Amino acid sequence: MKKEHWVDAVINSTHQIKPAGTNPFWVIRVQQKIKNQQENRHAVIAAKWVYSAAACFAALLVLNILTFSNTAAKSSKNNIQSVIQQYGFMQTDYYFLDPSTR
Amino acid sequence: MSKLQLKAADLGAFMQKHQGRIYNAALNLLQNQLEAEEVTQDVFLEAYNKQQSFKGDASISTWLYRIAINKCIDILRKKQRRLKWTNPLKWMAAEALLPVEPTDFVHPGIVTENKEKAAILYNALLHLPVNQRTAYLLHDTEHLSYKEISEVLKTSIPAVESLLFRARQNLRKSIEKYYKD
Repeated sequence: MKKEHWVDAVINSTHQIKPAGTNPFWVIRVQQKIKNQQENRHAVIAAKWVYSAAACFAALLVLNILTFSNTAAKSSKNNIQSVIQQYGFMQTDYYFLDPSTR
Repeated sequence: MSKLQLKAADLGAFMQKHQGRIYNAALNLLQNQLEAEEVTQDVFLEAYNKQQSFKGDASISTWLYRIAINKCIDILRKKQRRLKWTNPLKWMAAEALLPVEPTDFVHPGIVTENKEKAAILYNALLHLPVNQRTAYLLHDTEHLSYKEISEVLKTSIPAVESLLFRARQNLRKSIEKYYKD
């Protein structure tokens, strides 16, 4: 019984609570935050533009890699052909050629 | 009901009217003055930014309470997650409603002779699930009606009654552990 009363007293301890005081300067802080937001709104670039720029850059990078790999393969063949032509080698002179072209 | 038309210049009067209740609710729930101050300011910033979302189906104070409670719940969940990973033993003790350690928080509005008992109550409140704690504090310290609590928590009135019943039961169990003969 004594324990019950004690528990009740603990639970009722907040019944006469007075509201805690607030700070009048919070208004100024919030107004400052609003002002900062409005100033920064112009400086911030929308996410869609950032993502589209990143996608364009990635696409350009892929195209560059593809183009470079194609031209590199062609130019290695062309170099061998030009050496054959320049020195008048016959197509049977395989010892100069790449084993893969035999 | 009318929609909210808030300008930055009118914010002073608007905050003056509502900030006391919002701050006290946040302070009771978070038990931390700095966090409660931050939440109060963030509530009014969000209210200003999202004033179009106020439909007028509830009162402005209920809408502000809802914003504040959501922000407090976010902070409490983050703290719980952090405690779970940084101090699992303490987190398990809190889950099992065991007294972990007395908190040093007592609401500044508590009368002096009740401070010791209020400290136990605030400590016991920390062991309640967040929704029970919120319902209990909104009812017992903010004196909101069941209908208002149901609007703040976006739930039904019977659900609020059930939350309050379970909160009181759990609170009694938790407080009994502090009793010394």
